Amino acid sequence: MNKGILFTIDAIIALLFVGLMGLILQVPNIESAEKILINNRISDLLITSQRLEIDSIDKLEENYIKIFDKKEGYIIINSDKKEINKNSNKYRIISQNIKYINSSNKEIYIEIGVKY
Amino acid sequence: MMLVKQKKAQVMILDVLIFIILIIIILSIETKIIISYKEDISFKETEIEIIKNDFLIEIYLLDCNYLGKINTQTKKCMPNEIEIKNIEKINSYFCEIKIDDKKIFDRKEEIKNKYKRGIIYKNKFSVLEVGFCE
Repeated sequence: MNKGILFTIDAIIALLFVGLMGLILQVPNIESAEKILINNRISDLLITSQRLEIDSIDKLEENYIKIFDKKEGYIIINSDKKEINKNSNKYRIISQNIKYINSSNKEIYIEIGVKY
Repeated sequence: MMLVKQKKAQVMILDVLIFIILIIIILSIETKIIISYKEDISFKETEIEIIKNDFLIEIYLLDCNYLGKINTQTKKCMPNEIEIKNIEKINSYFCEIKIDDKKIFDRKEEIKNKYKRGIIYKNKFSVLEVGFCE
């Protein structure tokens, strides 16, 4: 009797397992192209920020919006952080950072993150 | 008799608990493996085209024979800094090129995809917008 119950529970769990596997396989494809495009644009922002020695968070935000329009994300310059277009509950994020010394011999740290 | 039954019940509960824990561990591992595998193989044709177009822009941005700006002192190509030259040589690939909404090239055809890139043009941050035809 007990063994029977145990086998039934095992069978239900096995069915659940198979069902979950099916669900996992049906998950839509991860948008890899989008990731690459976002990465390239973050690189653009970081490279141009270094070349133009941008150390104002408002200026960087302006450039971010020009490139990413309404995409949610954040920017950090040294210790200042600013969230941009904060509205959704997207949980995946791509971020890159750069550290350089500007012409005034000041160390600048820039980090840009984009949610998708 | 009661003790034996209690022990059996305890063993059963323990068995089920261990089984559930094992299933959760296996599922989380398999999910990670499957997702990374799907990530590798999920490049659809359209995705490949999108990436190809984006890297084509990148090539022209970094190539001083085309859009890339050359540093006259070091003779090196400066990343993401452009100057308008040899447009006629790249126009077979692009449909439209805009810098900060100002058209610098237009083939006057229907645009299929548009790509924005951050660049430095005339010593200030600008947006390079490249359109690809159908």
